[in-house]
Amino acid sequence: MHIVDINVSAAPFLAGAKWSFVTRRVRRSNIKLLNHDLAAAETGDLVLAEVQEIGSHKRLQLHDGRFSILFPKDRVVLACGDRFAEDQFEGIAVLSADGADLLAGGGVVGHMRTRNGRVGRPTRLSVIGRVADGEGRVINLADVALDKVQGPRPRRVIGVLGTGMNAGKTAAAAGLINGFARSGQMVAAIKATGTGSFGDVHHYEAAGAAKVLDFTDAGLASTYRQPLDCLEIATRTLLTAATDCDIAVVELADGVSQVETAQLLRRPGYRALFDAFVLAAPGALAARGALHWLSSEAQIAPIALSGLMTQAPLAVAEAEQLSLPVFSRETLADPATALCLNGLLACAEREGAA
Amino acid sequence: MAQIHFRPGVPGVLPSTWLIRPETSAKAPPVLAIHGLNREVELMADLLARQADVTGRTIILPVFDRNSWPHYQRAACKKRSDWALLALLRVLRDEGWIGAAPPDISGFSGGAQFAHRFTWLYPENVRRLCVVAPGWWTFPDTRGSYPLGVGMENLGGNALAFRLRANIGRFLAREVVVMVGDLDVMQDKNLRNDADIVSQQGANRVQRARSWAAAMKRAARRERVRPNIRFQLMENCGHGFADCVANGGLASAFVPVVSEKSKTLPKLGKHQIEEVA
Repeated sequence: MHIVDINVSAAPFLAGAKWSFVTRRVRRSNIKLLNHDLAAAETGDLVLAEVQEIGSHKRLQLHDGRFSILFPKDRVVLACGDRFAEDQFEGIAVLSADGADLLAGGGVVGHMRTRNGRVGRPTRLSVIGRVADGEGRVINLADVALDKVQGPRPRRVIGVLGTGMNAGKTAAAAGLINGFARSGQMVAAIKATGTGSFGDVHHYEAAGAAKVLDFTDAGLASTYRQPLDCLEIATRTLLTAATDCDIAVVELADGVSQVETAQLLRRPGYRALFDAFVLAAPGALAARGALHWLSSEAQIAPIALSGLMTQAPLAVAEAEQLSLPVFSRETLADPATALCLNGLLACAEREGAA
Repeated sequence: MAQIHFRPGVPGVLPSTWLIRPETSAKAPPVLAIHGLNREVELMADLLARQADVTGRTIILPVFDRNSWPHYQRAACKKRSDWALLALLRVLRDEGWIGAAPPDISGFSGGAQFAHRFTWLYPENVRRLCVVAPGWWTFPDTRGSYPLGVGMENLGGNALAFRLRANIGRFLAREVVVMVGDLDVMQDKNLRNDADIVSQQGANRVQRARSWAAAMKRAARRERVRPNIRFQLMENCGHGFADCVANGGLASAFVPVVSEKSKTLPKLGKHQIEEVA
């Protein structure tokens, strides 16, 4: 038997590499070695890969918020992770010497298991190795995450839920953020679950959030297939990091019945982190189904509806039959709406306390 | 003696503003005094200046110019005069003219239209409301859409109606003073006489003010809020700000001495969100 050193110097391989969005908290000076034991890869591990064949993702979201067009033979620094996206890929945090898939443009690499029929194959990568420090310890996003300190949260926390992907959750969240910001409040925007991507983060920033955080700040490349305790701690960590803000708008990815989202919402302790929820839906029937699910499975009664359906007056009229206000992004962005919701919640809070 | 300052605005963004600072430091909440459709702000400033010293309160007189905010009296109008006032208050706080406490808002004629609609939209941003002789009002009536009532606007548009209905309890928890000159019963060019307004509110400003005060008291009881609405006729006064100040004692109602009485009253109901929904 002979022992092979699986760590080699990283520097020659990293030269000119593109650092993806999910790696933005990493201190590059700590990186010294590459680890070739791919079978040991865990979610969140930093990975150096080379682009072999351009597929569905033709651009990479960079650490500094820019897009970079991908070319064959580009070196990219990514994070190993899972992916749950009905309109793209479902994939898991597995690496192989035979290659891997770019599962998300924010920089998540893994093995694609299924894909939406309207989407091409993922961009194919060769894995050069996992990125490690001088001691050979593989660097994981959890190593550079916010401290898992759990303290006070912002005075008001509003959750944004949806019926599924592309229901209009981020637009609704951005509307709320803008409305509260314009009413003079300091707003934190938090993406609590999903797969690392800067799209939503940029949307929140554009809406006027004073602080923007997502689960990658809590050390997760993706929240799919992660232990629920870990996800709850991540949300608590992010809320604690936003405690200097007056209000936090927290978006949960995918639909309310998505595996992790559903399980989180069933947890009383998790629900207790929120003062209220807004539900985004593409249509009235979807909203009706989600409201029923939320009521029966999670004892949640959203205070308002929003989402894609607000673009269609007929759909809004139908949704208004559900006895909830229906707010478009523009209406949510009106300080009058923000203050109205805040006032109602304050009243409900006082009555609850009494 | 109070000092009157002029703070230039930015057309369409921030109204120009007259500010009256009392001689002694102003610790009491400020008062927003909103002009009527004739925009006689300088006259108002002159007539109210003494009251700043009497009460020790800063008086803010924004100018909603005709080009930028032609229909400012509707508050949630196309050019959003309500947003302009929110922006102005933020700037005045940043510049140290006023503190963080919500101001009183007092409006005359078209300014009273604005004042009661603004307070309805932003109840927490107003401490006390004084509405004097508006031509017409927003009623707590679902049979008309805003600005006439709180009914649905049109197909698929319950957002504004929801906000008004949701806010009504907190709006009515404020002290509200409704005033009008007893001689303000004449038809003039600024008094709208649309059939729906006349049938809902009455033929002249006196009838309309009386009718609104009564409707709001009924609404308050429905909301289980103790009504704190006072209706007052000013004797021998017509529809003129100077007239009402000289003969009706309007200045002391417009910019009152702060008393403990004008605290916000608690809402008595429960589960307001469900009720509104």
